[in-house]
Amino acid sequence: MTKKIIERIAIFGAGGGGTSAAAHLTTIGFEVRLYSQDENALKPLQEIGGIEFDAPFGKGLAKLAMITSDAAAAMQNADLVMVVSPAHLHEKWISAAAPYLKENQTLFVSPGHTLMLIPHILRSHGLKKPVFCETATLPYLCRRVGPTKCRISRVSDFMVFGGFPGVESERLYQIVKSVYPSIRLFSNVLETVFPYGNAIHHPPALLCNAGRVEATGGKFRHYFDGITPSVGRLIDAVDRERLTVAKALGAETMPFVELFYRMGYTTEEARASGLAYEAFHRSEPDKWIPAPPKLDHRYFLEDVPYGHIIYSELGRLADVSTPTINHIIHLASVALGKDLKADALTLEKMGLAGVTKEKFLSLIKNGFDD
Amino acid sequence: MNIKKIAVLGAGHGGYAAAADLTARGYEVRLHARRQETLDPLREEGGIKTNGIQNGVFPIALATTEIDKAIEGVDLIMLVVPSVAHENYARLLAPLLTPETPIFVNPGHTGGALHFVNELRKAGYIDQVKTCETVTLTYICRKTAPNTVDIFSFTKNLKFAAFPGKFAPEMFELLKPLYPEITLVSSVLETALTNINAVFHAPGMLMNAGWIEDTGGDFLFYREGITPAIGRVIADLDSERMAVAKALGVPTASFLDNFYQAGLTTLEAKESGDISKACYESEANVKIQSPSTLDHRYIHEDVGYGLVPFANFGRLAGIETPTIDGIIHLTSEMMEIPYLSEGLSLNAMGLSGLDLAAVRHFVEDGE
Repeated sequence: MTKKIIERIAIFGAGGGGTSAAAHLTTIGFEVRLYSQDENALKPLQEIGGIEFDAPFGKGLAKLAMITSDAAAAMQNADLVMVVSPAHLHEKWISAAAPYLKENQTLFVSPGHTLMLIPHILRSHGLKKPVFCETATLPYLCRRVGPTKCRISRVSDFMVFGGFPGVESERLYQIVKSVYPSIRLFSNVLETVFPYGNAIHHPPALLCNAGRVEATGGKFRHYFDGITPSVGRLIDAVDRERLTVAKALGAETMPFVELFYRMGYTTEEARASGLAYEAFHRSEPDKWIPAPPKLDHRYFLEDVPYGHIIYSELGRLADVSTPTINHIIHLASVALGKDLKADALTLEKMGLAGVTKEKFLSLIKNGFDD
Repeated sequence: MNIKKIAVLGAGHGGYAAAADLTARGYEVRLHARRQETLDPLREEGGIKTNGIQNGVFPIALATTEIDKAIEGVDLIMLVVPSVAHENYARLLAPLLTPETPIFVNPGHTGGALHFVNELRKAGYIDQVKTCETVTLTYICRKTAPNTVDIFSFTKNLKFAAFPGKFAPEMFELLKPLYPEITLVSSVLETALTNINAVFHAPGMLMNAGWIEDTGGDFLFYREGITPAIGRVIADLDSERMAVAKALGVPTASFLDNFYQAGLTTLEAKESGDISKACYESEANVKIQSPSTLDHRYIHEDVGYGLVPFANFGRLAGIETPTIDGIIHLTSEMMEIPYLSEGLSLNAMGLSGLDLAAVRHFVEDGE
C-alpha cells in the first residue's frame, strides 16, 4: 500500500470556510487540526471535540484531531497548511504560520487571490524564497450557522488553482489534488486572481442596490431580485475590463459567466447568453441568498479593496484603462464615507511599488532571485 | 409691453399646468403638441381639468399640432418640453420666429436657453433672439389623467436668467407678472449650475437601479429611496457642482439651501446638513413614487442634460469632477447610451473652443 501524499492537515481559520473544510476533510479521512487565534470561537468546538455539519456528504459531528490556538502545535508534522480566511486576514494568518513553516510542508490558501501579498509577508518573516499555492475561490458554498455548526450547501467541483512561483504550480497541483480533486491547474497566482468571482459582481450589485439595502435592511434576495438587467450590464462592463487586463498581462482566464457555469452555479442557457443577469437569475444555489443587511459589509469592504482595486492596479501596470472599475471604487467609497483605497491590496502593499510589467511577470513565474 | 397671448409649446405635465393656470388667470393660451392624440382628450372634455392652485375645467383658446398657428401673434413663446425635444422645436420655429418674440424656456435645467439658441442657429435662424429660462419648472404638478393636471403649487424662489444676459432686466419685467416667484440671477451659467434635479435624481436612480427594475418602482423615491449612503453621494456630487460654479465665477448655494429655498424641505432638515433627511422630510415629495423603469428622464435628462454639462463646465474651468464622471459612466454602461457624447456638450451650447473669459462674454452678449 502506497503512503498517502497528505495525511495531516492544519487548517488556519475557524469561520464558515475553515470549519466547513475541517468537517469535510475529516469526513473523507484526513487528520485535521483546526487553528484559530480566537479562543472564544474555539471553546464551544473544544467542548464537543469537533464541528457539527450538515452537508451534501452527510450530517453529524466531525471529531477533530486537534482544536487549538497554538500555531506550532497545529503545524507540527502537518503535510498541508491550509489557510481559509477572508483576504484581509491573510496577513494575520500567514504571519502566524510563517515561523513554523517547514520546507516539506505545503502552504495552501483557499481562497487566495491576493497575488504577491503572501510571498511578500513570508519574505518579511525571513523566508527568502517563499513557495505556496492557492485557489481563486473557496471550496464550499457554506455558512457557519451556530457556534458549533456549519452548513455546507455545495462542495465546489471547479476551482482555479495556481502556485507561486509559477514554475512550482505543477508540483503543488499534484499534492493538493489528492485533497481536492476538483482543482484545475493554471499557470500561476496571476491566473488565480482573475477568476475571483465575488470581486467582479459584488461591488456593482451592491452599489446599484444601496438604497434598497439601507431602506429595507436587505429584505430581498441579493442575486435573484437585486441583479436586474441593467445591474447585469454593469457587471458585464466590469468583466470586460477585467478580461482586457488579463489579456494584456498574458494571463489565461475566462468570462465570468463561463466561470460561474463551470463552478456549477448556473444553467447552460445562461452560459449561452453570456450575460451576468441571466447567470444570476438562473442560478439555483444563489437564488435564496439574502442581501446584506447594510452597506458596511464584505461585499464592499473586502471585494472592493481586495478585488476591484487589484484589477485597477493590474490595469495600471498593464497600461489598460479600467474606467468602470475605477468609478465603482470611487462611488462605493463616497457611499460608505470611507476611502476604500486606504487599506487596499495595492502594488505598494505587495512590496511591488514601481515594478515594471516585465519584472512583475518574471516574479510571478520564477519567484525571487535575491 | 404686457403679455396677453402666450404660446405654450409642449403638452406634458408642465405644458398642461401652464396652459390651465395661465388661462385661469385670464391670458389667451395657444397650446401646441406634436401629436394630435395628446390634444384629443382636452377637446372632448372642453378644456383641461385642474386641481390644486386652480380648480375647474379651463377651455384653452387654441390647442393645435400646427406650430405656425400656435405662435401666430403671441407675445411670448413658452417652451415646456424635456431638453431632448429642444432640437426638434428649434427646427420647427427657426423659419417662423421674429426677433421681437421672446422665448421662455421653462425649465431650462442646465444650459437650456444656450442649447435652444444654438439649435435655432443650426437650423438657420440668424436674427436677434431673446430668451430666458428658469432652472426648474414654474409648477410642482403632475398630469394624472389624459385631460387632468394636479398643480400642487408654484415653485418658490425660482432662479431666472436671460440669454443674452444684456436683455435680463427687460425679460425679468416681462415674466415677473406671470410668475412672481422668479428671482433674477447673474446669468444662465448660474441657472445652469443650480439644476438640483441633476444633483439628486441621477444618484438616486443609479443606487436604486435594482429596486426600480425588480419592483417596477414600488417605493417612494424621495421618502424611502434617498438613504444615508445616497445622501453622501449626492452631497459629494453637490460639492463638485459648487466647485465648478465657483471656478466659473458664478454665485452658488448648496443643494440643501436650494432645496429649502424652493420650499421643498424643513428648516430643521436643512440645518442638519443631511440630504437623506431633507428628502425624507420633503412635504411636496412625500408621496412621489419612484419611476417604474430606468428608461426615464431622471436618467436620460438629468444625466445627459445635467451631469454631462456640469462635467463639461468642469473641464472648461479646470475642476475635477470624479463623482459626477462616475455617475455618467456607470449609467451609460447600464443604459447602453453614451451620455457623454450624446448629452449636452459645450458644442451643443454654442461654447466650444471658448475660454472662460470668452464664455462669460458670449453669455452676456449672445455672440
